[in-house]
Amino acid sequence: MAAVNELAAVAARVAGEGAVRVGATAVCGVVPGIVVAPKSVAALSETLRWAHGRRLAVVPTGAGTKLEWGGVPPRIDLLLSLGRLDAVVAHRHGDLTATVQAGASLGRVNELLRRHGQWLPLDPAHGERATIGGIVATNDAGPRRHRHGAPRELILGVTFVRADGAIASAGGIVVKNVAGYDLSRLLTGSFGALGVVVDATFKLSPLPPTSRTVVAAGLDPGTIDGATSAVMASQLAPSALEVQGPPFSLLARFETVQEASERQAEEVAALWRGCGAADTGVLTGAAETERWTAHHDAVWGREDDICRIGLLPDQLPGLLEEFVGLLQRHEIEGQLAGRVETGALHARIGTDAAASRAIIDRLRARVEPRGGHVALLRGSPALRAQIEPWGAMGDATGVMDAVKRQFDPQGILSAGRWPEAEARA
Amino acid sequence: MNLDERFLRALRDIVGESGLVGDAADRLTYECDALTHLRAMPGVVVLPASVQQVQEVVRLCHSAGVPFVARGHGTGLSGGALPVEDGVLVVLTRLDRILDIDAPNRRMTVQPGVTNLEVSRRAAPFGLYYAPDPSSQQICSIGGNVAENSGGAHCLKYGFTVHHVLGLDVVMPDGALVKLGGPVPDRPGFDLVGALVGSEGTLGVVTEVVLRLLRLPEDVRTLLAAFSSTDAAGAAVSGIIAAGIVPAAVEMMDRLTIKAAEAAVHPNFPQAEAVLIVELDGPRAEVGALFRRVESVCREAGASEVRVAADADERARFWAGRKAAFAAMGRVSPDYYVQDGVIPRTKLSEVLRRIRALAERSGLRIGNVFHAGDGNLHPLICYDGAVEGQAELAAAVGGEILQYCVEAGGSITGEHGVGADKAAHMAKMFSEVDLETMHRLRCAFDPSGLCNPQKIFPTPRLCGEVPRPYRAHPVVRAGLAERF
Repeated sequence: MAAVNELAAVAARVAGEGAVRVGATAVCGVVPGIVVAPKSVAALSETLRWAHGRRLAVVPTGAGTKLEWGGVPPRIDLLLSLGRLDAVVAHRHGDLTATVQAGASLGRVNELLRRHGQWLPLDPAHGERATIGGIVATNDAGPRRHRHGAPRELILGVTFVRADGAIASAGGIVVKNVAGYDLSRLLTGSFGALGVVVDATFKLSPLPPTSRTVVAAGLDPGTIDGATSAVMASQLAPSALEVQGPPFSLLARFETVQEASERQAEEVAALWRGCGAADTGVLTGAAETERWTAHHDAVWGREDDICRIGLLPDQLPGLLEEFVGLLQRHEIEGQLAGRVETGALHARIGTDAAASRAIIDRLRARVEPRGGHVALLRGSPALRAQIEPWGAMGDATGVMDAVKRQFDPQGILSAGRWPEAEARA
Repeated sequence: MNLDERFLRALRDIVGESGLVGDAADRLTYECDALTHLRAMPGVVVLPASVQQVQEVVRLCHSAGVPFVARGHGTGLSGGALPVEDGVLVVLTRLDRILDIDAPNRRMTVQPGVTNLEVSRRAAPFGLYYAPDPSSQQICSIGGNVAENSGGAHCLKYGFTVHHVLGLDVVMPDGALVKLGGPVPDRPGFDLVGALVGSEGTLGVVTEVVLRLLRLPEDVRTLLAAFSSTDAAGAAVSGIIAAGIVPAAVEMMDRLTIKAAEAAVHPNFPQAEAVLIVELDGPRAEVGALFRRVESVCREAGASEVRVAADADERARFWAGRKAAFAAMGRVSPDYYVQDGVIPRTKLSEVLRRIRALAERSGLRIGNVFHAGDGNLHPLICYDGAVEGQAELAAAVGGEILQYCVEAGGSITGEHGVGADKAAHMAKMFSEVDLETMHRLRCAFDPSGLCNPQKIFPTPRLCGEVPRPYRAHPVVRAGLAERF
C-alpha cells in the first residue's frame, strides 16, 4: 500500500491534482495500483512519459465496458482513464466527418451529431455507454456492420500518445487520404497495445429517414441456409442481416426512404416465407427498437463467458447446428448473434469453465481449418486459466511482435491483453 | 549497370533467361511509372513467374544488401514504382492468375498482376463485382492498387482498396512469406492488412490478394448537369449531401477539362463552366426516389441543363468523358502534371479561387477534375516541357496547390500515393514526431531499408536500435499547449 501511495503522490505531481486515485475495482481479478485520469492530452502525455521511465504497466480505459476482453494483464500499475477527454472536437456536417475525443461515449456523440441529421453508424456492444476509444481499441461492431463496416472502415485519422509519451497523428480529417502509413487502422483493434488514442476522426452517415425490420422466428439451420442465401443472391440492400438464437431467428433491417424500406421488407418477408419460414413478420417503430434491444441483450445482457467467432458465411448453418448440440450436451442456455454475410458472430456460452472450454475447443476445430477463429472476449478466471484467449494466430505473429517492439519497446501498454509473444509461448 | 556478375548470375538462376531484362535498351521501358518526369535506370529487371521466385529474388537482394522495388503495370502517378538506380526492379506482371472465385462467400483470390477490371469481369457471371474503380482500371494491376490504396470514382459510397481487401500474402523484405488477414474477418492481432494497403510497396512484396466482392446493384441512374460556375456546381454537391443522399459517385469537370475530353472521346458534354456527373445505385425504389431529389437539387443550384443517361450506353459515354480527362489533356497541352490534393469538400470554392489566381500568376493553364463528393482534386497543370523552366514551374505550381489543400485541412494525396513525387511535401502535413512514428512501422517490416527505399519519407531515415524516449516540448510540458 505504501508503494501505491508513493506512486499516487508522484503521479499527482505529473498528471495534476485530482487526476489520481487509488482503490479501483479489479480487472479480471487484477487490482490496479492507481487510476490516473488526465484532464488534457498534455497531461496524459506527461503521465505516459513518466510511466515509461518507471516501466509501469499501463492499461488505458474508457467506460470499462470491454476492459475484461482479451488476455488478462499480469499486473496493472496504472489504469489510465480517458474519461475526462470526452469532447466532440468538431462536427463538420457539410463534409460528413467528426473528430471526437476517446473518452466520449458513442451515445453522447450521436446525440450531438443528430442535430445535423447525421450519425456515426456503429452499434457495438453496450453501444450507448461504450466510448470512442474503447470502440476503436477493440474494433467492435454490431449488426449495422453489414452496411457501414466496422470502426476500421470508418476511421479517417487519429491522434495518439505513444508509450514514451510522444504525441503523434496519422491520417487526417478528410474522407480520402493516402498520405503516409495508415496508423489509424493499425491502432484500430490493437487493444491499446501500440498507443493511447486520444482522438479519432470518422466518416459519418446521414440518419436514415425510415426503418423496417423483417423477423423470421423458429428456424432450423437448414431453413436459415436457404433464407440467408436467398437474400445474399438478391439485390436487396439491408443495413443489417442477423442471425440469433437458439431458437434461431433471422433479422433483416432496411433503413432508407420509406417506399424502399417498405418494398424491400415485403420482398424479404416473401422470400423467407417461400423458404419455409412460416413465422415471418415486419416490425417498425417501438416494436422494432425493442426487438433490436433484445437482440443485443441476448448476448451482452448477462455476465457469461462470451466469445467472438469469425467464419466464412457458408460455414454458418453447420456452426449453428453444432452450437445447439454443444449447448444441449453441456446443458447451457447460451445464445449466439451475428452478421450472416460478414461472418462475424458473438456467442454467450454460460459460466461453467469446463463446458466453456469444451465449447470453444469444438468451435475452433470447426472453423480454424478454413481460416476462421474463435477468440474468448470475456471469461471467468477459471476459464482463462485453462484456455488461450485468442486461438489460432497464423504466421504473422513475428511481424506483429516486431511492430509492438517498435511502438512500445518496454512493453508497458496493455501488456497481456493483446496476443503477444509471451502469452502465446 | 553496377551490379556484380555473381549477383546477376544468381538472379538468372532464379528467374531464368526469359525472366531477366539486363540489356540497357530494354531496361529503358522500366525507367518510370506513369509519372514520366521522374526516371531512374534500374540495374536489372526481373519478371518472376512464381511466388517462390519472388521469395528467392527478395532473399537474394536481402543477403546482398541490394535495394529492390516491386512494380505491376506501372500506371502509378506518384513515382511509387520508380526504380532505384542500380537496384533490382521486380515486375510482377507474370503473376496474373485468378486463383479462386468463391461466389457463395463473395471472395476472389488473385495474384498481384491481375488487372482491376479483370476482377470485375470474372465476377460478373455471378452477379458480383469489385468496387474500387480507378480511371486506369483497364490496365492497372491489383498489386499496384493494394500498394497505393487506390480509389476511383465510386469511393464516396464504397470506400477504397483497403475496404475491399481481406487478406494478403506478403513476401517480407527478408524473403519470408507471411499471410496477413484472410478470407475471414477480425483475425486476432494487429490489422496489418490495414497497415500494408497503401504502404506504397515499402513494407514487402504482395504476392496474393483476397478481395471482397459486392453484389451488382439492382439499379444505377446517372445524370450530367451543366453549371455556369464551379461554385454553382459545388453548391449542388452541398445540396445533395445536405439532403442526406450519399451518391455512388459525384464528379466535377471544369471548362478546360470538358474541352479536352470532348476533343479526345467526344462524350458530347454541354459546353459549360462546370459539369457534374452524379450517379446513384441501389435498390430500384430507393434510387428512383433519391434521383428525383438530386435532379431538383441540381436545378435549384442553377443547372442550365440536366441530362439523364437513358441507358447503359449513354452512361458509359458520360464515364468515358470523365475517365479520359487525364489522357485527353494531351489534346490541349504538350505536357501536363496531375496533382491529387484533397480538401474538406466545403472548402471547394475557396481553394478553387486560390488555384485560379495561381494559374493567372504563373501563366500556366490549370484544368480541374474532381471527385467532388469527397473533395479529391485532380488539378491538371498544363506546360510545355520544351520551354526552358516550364517543367520546374509546373512542379512548383503543383507544390503550391498542395499547400492550399493542407491549409484547408486536407491532404497532399487522396489516391495516387506519396511515392517519390510528393515525399518532399509530407512535412506540410505531418510533424517530425508523426513521421518518425510512421517510420517505426517501416522498421518493423524492413529494418534494413531495402524495400522500395526513398519513397514516402521526406528525408532518408535509418532504423536504430531502440528509439530514444520522447522529450516533450517545454510548452507542452508546462501544459500551455496541446497538439490538436
